[in-house]
Amino acid sequence: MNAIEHYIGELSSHLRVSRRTRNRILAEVRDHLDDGTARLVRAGDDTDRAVARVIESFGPASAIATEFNAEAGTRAMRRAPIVAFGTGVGVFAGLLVAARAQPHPAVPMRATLITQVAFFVAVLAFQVAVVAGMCAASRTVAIHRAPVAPSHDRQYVRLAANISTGAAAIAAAGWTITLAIAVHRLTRPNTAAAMIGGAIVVAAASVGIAATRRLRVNASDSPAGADAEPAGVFNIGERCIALVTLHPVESCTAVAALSIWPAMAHAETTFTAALPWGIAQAAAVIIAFMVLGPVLELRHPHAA
Amino acid sequence: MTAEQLKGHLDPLVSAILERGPAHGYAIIESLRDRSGGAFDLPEGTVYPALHRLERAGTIASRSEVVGGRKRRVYRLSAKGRAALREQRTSWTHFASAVSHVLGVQPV
Repeated sequence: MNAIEHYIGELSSHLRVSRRTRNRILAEVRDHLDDGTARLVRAGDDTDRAVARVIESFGPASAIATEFNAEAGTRAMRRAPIVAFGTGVGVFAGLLVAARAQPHPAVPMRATLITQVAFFVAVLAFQVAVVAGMCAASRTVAIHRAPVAPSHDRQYVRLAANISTGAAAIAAAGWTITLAIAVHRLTRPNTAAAMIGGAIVVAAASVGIAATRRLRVNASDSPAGADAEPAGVFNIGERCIALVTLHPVESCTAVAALSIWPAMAHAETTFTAALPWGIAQAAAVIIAFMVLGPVLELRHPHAA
Repeated sequence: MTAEQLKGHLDPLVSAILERGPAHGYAIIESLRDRSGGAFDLPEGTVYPALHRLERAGTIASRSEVVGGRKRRVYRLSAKGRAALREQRTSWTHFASAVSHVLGVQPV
């Protein structure tokens, strides 16, 4: 039975699936080859010839592995947006808990430069996480009817999910720094809330990154279906790119206005004080769109 | 019939075989070959990814059972699979009838 074991080993080397799925596949294939061999031996073949015929009938190991990889990759692809969404929700929930560290009534105080930078990076990173997560979800929804997703789409979803959870982790780090500085400076802070909230934020980000990296959605194999482009409401990202490209001044002004309002509400500051924060936010969001747009295939709809 | 031609129809064919009763992978492939009079002779390994795909879709279910003294994974058609098979039969009948009319042959 050496030939069967050799075939099983070759199939295993081509598989890009979880250990549990691999074990199940290899056990089924081994059973199949054993059954086929036994049937041919009963029919009069010698064992070596029976094994060779059964392996030939089963098909090339690389081709069979490709089919399994596509199937497992599709399953993982459909989980990716859920993992990214769960990471974002976990980080946000941790922040809500951590926000209770501030005693009430709050005493206004001027934020340090490090706090401002960390908070700014965290807000921006969280926005990137949301956009990338929506990209992953939109592509998954767009091809949800395909029995097996094309490898191109699986790779796209994996990339978007990785960016989303990575950005959520950066946001978590930024907020954790902000929180640590705030707790240090506050008088009579709720330290327990800060520590629990911080722990939830760090745990959610770590679990999200680990879970996304384990999603083997990028098996390099031939497409097993028609490529599907996100359509209808799912091309919002592309429309945003077009809007920013065609109307940069108006876009920048609109985003700055939207950014100033929450800055004023949260920092209880004046319009003049919030203006630089809002403009920097607007510029950063637009630059992020420009940089991440091509990576996430968010392109100008009128581009060839 | 080539393997590529058959691939697009593999899901309902496997479901139809499991409609008669639970079976393991090897038995499904043998049944597929026998019931097609040997016409459906695709690489046997391609049936297993299809089985995994159908299981993910919820049209079939599987569990490990001891068959003939050996532990095997046995597949069975689910209620969802039976409903899907009914739809696929109707759809296939309409499709085959339309193609037969265009080709100018009697529907089988």
